[in-house]
Amino acid sequence: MGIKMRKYSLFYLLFGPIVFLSCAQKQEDLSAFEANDYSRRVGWVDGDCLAIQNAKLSAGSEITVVVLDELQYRIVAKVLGEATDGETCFPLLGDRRSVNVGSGYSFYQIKSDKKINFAIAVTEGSLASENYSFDYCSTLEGISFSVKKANQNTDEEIWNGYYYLGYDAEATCDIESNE
Amino acid sequence: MTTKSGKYWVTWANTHAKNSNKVSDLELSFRGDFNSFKTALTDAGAKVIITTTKRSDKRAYLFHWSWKISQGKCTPSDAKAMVGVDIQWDHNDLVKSKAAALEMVKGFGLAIPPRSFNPPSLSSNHITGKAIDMAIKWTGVIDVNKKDGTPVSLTFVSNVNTHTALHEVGESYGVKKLKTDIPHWSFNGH
Repeated sequence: MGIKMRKYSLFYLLFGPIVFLSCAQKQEDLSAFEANDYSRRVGWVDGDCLAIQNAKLSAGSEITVVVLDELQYRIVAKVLGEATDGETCFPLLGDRRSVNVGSGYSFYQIKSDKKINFAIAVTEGSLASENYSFDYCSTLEGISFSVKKANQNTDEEIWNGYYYLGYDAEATCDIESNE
Repeated sequence: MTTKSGKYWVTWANTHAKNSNKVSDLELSFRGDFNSFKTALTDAGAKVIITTTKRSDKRAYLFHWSWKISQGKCTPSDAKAMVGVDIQWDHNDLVKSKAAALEMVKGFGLAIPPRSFNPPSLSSNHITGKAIDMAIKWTGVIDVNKKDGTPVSLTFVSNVNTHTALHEVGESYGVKKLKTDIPHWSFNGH
């Protein structure tokens, strides 16, 4: 027993740091991957149109939609396919198309059982837990959507989406952001 | 001859009250400032893609009142008249007036966030020709001269709202960034 333990101790003494470093590296990579991946997993919704920086959503895939009404609620919607015009997808209307497309979004028609006004959609259910808060506010020319991770003392914004509307309105977002 | 509010006005606005993306439609002083900034950027190798310069006041008028009437924020008779837009907001029936206004809201794709009490604005820097919406693209690092000739090294970042060095260069020319809206620059940052 004592010999065995000594053998294992020697093994860990020799190779432990390598195993530890390798795991730490993997953990770091994973964190970086997750941090960068939010933009591909989270998008905003206007009506039946989803805007997300991910060109690879396939028709038929299910998404979780956090509807931003007076009371927020979650529903499941289905991706129907790529949206191509402003008739079915308001973010692609003439006054706003070039800015929204230029921001790197892909646009999809979605279908749900409930009527959606504005919402935040998540392509994987793991983000749609109680640990995250979903919100929006109006900017001068659009809508700013955000997802925050609830921490002990402060909320950390992990994702932000901007919807350019192409007309002016009074902003409701914190005006300090421009000072 | 007046025409009642409704879908007709969406088509009308898309023909007769379009926004401009021409620099020549900017207000004279801001146009000069913008052209100087643009020249500094393009001389350094950046590409400037303009999406909107002057917005139509007639379009803004139709947006504003159709939004307010449809949302019950005012009565149809509250809507002010505008020269060149011969629209009849009041159908002598509140339900019909609101329904017609809502047709326009939907046709224009106006946003009605649930917590919003703010209609589309009747006035803005875009309407006076003192704002521009644009994207500025380049690869890697470029040296752009401020108005006083001081070169500033700018590294491209995807979120222009956070690029304070670029904002400072723009400001030296009198073209100020609004940090909440990706494409928006104006004479006063609003």
